[in-house]
Amino acid sequence: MCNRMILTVEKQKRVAAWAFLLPGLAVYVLFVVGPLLFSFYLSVVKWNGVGPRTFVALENFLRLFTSSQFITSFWNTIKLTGVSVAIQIPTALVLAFLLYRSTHGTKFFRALIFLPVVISPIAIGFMFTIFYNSELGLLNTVLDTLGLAALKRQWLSDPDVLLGAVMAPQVWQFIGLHMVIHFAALQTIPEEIFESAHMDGASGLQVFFRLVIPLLWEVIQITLVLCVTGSLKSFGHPWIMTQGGPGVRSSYMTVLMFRVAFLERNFGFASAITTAIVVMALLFTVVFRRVTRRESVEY
Amino acid sequence: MNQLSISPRISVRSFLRYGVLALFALAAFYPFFWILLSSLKDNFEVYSNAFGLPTLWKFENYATAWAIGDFGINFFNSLVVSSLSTLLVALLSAMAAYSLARVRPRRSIYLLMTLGIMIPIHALLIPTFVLVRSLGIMNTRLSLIVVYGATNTSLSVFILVGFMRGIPRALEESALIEGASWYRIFFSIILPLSKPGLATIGTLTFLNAWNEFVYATVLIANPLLRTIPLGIASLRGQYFTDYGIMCAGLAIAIVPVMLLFVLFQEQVIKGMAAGAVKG
Repeated sequence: MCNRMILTVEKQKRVAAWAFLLPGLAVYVLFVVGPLLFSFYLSVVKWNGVGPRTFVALENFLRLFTSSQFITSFWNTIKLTGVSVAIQIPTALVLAFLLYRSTHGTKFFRALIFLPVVISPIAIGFMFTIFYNSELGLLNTVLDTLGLAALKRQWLSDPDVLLGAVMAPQVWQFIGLHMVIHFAALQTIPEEIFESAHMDGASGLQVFFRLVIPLLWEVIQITLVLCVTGSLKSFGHPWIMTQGGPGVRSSYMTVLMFRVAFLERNFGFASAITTAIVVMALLFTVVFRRVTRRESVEY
Repeated sequence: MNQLSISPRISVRSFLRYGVLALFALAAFYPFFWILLSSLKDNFEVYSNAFGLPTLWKFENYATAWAIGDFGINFFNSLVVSSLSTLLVALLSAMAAYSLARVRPRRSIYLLMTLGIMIPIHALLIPTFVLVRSLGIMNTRLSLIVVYGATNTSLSVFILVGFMRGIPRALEESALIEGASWYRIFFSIILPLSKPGLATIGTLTFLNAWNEFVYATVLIANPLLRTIPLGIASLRGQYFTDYGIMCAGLAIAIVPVMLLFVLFQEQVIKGMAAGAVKG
């Protein structure tokens, strides 16, 4: 009798566990796991999206190495990643530290600097298109006002500055995101650490390099990964500004993938590009975690 | 005495500190402000009076931009799609998280369901297009609702499982002893206690859905079903030479998000930071 009651309780629990899990799991498997696997499959076939699919083994992947379009887009993506990491992370760290040390207006500054993060990249890209207009745009007007007319450019067609102009909104938009993450981490550090450093006569620079960076190292790793994966999936800015053109001069891998799939209707090759993006993102995350695991053990 | 000798150095320091912060705040905000200013000017003034207030306030720019960008319809679609996908994610991932955190923890399923955090969203674009087409829901709001729901599930489950694990066991144990079912416990104990976590994932999902462009452009062709990012793209696409109108269109698209941000600042920032610090 008692045993049977425990059995029914156990059974009810099992039924409840599945009943709560299944709806979410089903949607997730159908729309995330399934497509992911299907994407790997598509990368080994030739397919225009409607007709029959032919198995081509690794041909699409081999084409990655010979396609000049892919190679250009690949390097553009790498450049974007490098520039984002080099500018966003240090700037965000300094800003977070300054926010932490300030006593007034902390929320005000945090909100203003974070503001661009919440706006759609499509809107941001569109906004920069307006700024870059050679006659009416803000950028050339500012250069004129500052007496730097010699620096004026056709920002979105001059090949010397094109890629930089397309990368700028990505760098500008997400500094605030990294800043609030660093800032949130800083707030968990006991104030006394900084006070005693100050007592010992440490300068602001010393505190920053000797205390802030080591203490936040764990979080800096996270923002680094975020910055790299964020760059790998950047799409909206170049798409709205130049559609990756002229040619593929301002394409990232995502833009090329989109063009190959939905303009050229070559789903196989596009899926190989997708797979390359996924593999790069995963490899970076995993390898980076491995390399830096040593330091993070103590947490 | 000591105080006196230190204070000048401190004030120089804090002056520098606030100076740098103000500079970056300006760099983050001024571009939007310039768009707002220019949205009330004509071309001539955008150029000749780039930094000042408009001399002739062209409010009609907004009416024109509203009509050209079809913003009435776009707002409605964005609102429907973003709210329903947020509801969907909140309900399904809260239920899944409850199952995984409180009823019966299963590590393998938890890992599977949070795997999506690592997958760049564009990786699923082509197969999703094929899937949506074969399900016959191409060109429907439903397709966007389900896709946004699914792509935001991983992070939501991750955040909610973390949150629900923190709720004390004692509450539900006493409820179980009194004969409450698992369903009852979910709806009357766990769900109400998870409100802060739900607010975080809700804000995050809503914002993601509101801003999403690439899935929308692939899955929606019907102009009547366009969301705001598609409206912005079509504004850009029509060859336009009137900058005041373009700025007005942009302002219509971004000002509501800014207002929402001002209202829900804490949730948004917390959600974004939590979304980042995920692994």
